[in-house]
Amino acid sequence: MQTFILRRLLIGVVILFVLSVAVFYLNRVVPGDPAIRICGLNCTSDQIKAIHHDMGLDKSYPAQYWDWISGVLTGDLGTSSVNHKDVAPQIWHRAPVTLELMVLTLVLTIVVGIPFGMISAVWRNSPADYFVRSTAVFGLAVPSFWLATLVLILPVTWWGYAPTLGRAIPLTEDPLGNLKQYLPAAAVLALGSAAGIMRLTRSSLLEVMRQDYMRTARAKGLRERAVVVRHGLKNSLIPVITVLGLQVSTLLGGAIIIERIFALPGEGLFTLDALINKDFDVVQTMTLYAGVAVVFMNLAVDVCYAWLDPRIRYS
Amino acid sequence: MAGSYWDKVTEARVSRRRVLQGAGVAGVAAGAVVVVGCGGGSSEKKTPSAGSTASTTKVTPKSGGRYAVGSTADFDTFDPYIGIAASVGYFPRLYNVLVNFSALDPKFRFDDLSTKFEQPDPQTYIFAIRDGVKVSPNQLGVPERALDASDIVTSYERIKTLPQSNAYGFIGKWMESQTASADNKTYTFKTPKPYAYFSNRIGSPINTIVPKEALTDANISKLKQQAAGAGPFTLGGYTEGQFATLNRNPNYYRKDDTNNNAQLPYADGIDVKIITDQATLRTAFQSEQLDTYSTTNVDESNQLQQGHSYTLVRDPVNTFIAFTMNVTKKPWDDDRIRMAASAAINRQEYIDRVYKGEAKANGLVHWPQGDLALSPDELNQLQPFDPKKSRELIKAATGQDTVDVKIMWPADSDIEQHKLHLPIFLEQMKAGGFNVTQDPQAFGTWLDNYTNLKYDASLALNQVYEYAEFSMDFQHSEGPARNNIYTVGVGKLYPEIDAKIDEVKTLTNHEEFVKGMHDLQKLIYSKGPSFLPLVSPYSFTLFQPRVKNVPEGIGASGLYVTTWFLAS
Repeated sequence: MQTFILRRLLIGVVILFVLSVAVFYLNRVVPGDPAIRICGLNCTSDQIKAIHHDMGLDKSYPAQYWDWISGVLTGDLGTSSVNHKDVAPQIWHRAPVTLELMVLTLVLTIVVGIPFGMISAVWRNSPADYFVRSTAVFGLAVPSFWLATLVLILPVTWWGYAPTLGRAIPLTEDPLGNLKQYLPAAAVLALGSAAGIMRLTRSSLLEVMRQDYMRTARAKGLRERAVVVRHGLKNSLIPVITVLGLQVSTLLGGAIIIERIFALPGEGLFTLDALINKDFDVVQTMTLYAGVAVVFMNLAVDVCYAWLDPRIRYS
Repeated sequence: MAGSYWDKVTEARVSRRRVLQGAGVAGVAAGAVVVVGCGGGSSEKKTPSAGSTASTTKVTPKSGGRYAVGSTADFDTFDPYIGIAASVGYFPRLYNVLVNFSALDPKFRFDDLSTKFEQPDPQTYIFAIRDGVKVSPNQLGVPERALDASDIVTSYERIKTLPQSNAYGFIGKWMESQTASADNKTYTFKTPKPYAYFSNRIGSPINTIVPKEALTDANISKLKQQAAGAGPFTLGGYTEGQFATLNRNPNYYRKDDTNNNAQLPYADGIDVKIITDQATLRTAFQSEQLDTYSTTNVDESNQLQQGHSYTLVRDPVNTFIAFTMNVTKKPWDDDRIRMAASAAINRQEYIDRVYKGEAKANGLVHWPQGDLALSPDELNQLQPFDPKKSRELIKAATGQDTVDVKIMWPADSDIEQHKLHLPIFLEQMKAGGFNVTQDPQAFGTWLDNYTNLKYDASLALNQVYEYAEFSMDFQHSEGPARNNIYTVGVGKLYPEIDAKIDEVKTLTNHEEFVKGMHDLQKLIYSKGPSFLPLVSPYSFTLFQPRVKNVPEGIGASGLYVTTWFLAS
């Protein structure tokens, strides 16, 4: 197992290197001079040169890449060209918002997706199954940005209510207020992923329930609940865990829009602003950061396989 | 969406968000706009604007309460010389200028750090410095002392030596020398030649005066998170990406002489919330989490007002979408083709269809600039809508009934007005005899091409200019920034236009300046202008009923005044 993890980590390093080069290069070939964006219409050529120099854009691409990546490896994530502040503290400052949103979303995804998938599978073709499946189709079909907008607009139109906007309420300061602020955003973000997990849980569980060992378990006289939960569910979760792992990257992408709509000052919003402003150091670092998250999440998923299915052994 | 190219259309940046907010490319802080709306003179010399419809109930001003505003852009720094985005709108809250004149109301004047100024000659401005403009309590260790002329010298010197500073185009180019008197009670600013736009530029938020102790090497980097000035408010706190709190400056010098010399500002503070999405901003206003909201158009304003008693401020906006022609490219090097384009444009259609009548046609100087713009009658003569004439001019120039042209524009604009302009523009050009090869481009590509003059013609995004200088400089051979980017104006073909643009800039007598501007525009019309502003609209800003004494008709100058108050 240790060899497997080491090998996966090495592959991860290669992936991250390729990712860093690609993002670095793409940032620079996309049209639009960040100096012009910063400096505006009244910009003189002296001003443009000064900004290029400040940002290190007057150096060659390899030199610029080395400046950035050597900084990243030594803990210096660079400086934002927009607000002239160090990138690292800005990321740390926003991380709790996105982390809480992700955790809440994943919890909702699991809490809603897996039980309803089980209900749908166990009571296959029942009204409950039809209801759950229809809801899942709705969840998959409805774009989250549209739903998020409705979740904000309808309550304010009907009751003049909206969750706190423009200021993140820390969990430690006001847990209830925090939940009231984050839950609508997490619910919107979770809807699509929960729907996918529900459908996958249903199909996977149905597949497992047709297996011989399930018949054997019933023949041994186990109660149906024990058969489904202990023998069926655990074995049906392997593909579900895989998809959950992959959904982390999807959710990170979805967070960009949701954070913007719900005015949650997290990493997603930070990245979006940086992209728009061609804030190179921020975009590169945030992409690398997302890449690291995905690499480690995939590794965690692989490790989970072994726990879920003892027959799987890595060498 | 923050701090981008359009944030920084120089002095205009403060008020333009009201038009550009929500734009993917855009930005100027809505917060700035919000605050723009909040002011109202007391000791200021102010006349009501004809353009405004705000009706505020007369209530005796009272102190207290916190004013909540939203900003679609984050604060980048509180250093007024390099700050962009939301920050710019708050520099007048934290710092001082010498004097500010309203771009919308020529009678509005706000004497701030100076009590008066005189001009012994057209190139020399001597300011008398006000006593008792005292620095607020701060965390930078700047003593709570009165500002004087030496602070102005230090502040402007920093701009002069910092090419990337926002005001470099003004101080860097137009400040030949500056001196403080021995007692620091008088400040003298000299320009290399007379400069007609001096009064417009001296009061800009990006020229605000910072105490010299805050500009030391030790302190300057701290301005990213902190501020120390003598403005009406002091920076209470700032959390990146979330909010900033401004608290009343207990040392603020100004009193309300219309209310028993009550201490200003009335509000205890301003809470600025960073909300980047326009719909979310509106939701926050509807749920009373914000005190003000700049609507995108009159329809949204009317819709929101149904069943509510919001206060509406309707102000002219110094913004417009323009058609730019590159006179170094065929067929735009031909006067007749440029004149044909002018004749093909029916501005009334934009007014009716895009702005529901809440806009007016622009000449080469946009109409909110008042007497610098030509009258509607003159414009009807100089830029008549006449598609038949357009076709005749094309025929005369090319021998054909139509002419092929390639026009680019930014395709991914979130600016509603731009999207609405585009089909009308294309229809009008077609009717005028232009076969348009459409060249929509991603914003970054468009900006790159626009910057590097890699285009034939462009329908530009909203551009906002608080004064007429840049509108005229777009016709100059070296472009609006005089660095050969963005455009090559008709001055390239007719050096007399360049000369006239430069000459008019030196007319510091207002009557002569107005006449010079009119003559200049007529000269450009006679040669076929290369930059055609279309129409400028009104803005519609809503305030919660508790916000009183909302200013009207002074535009961005509202940032400087603090007689507004919260009734509950």
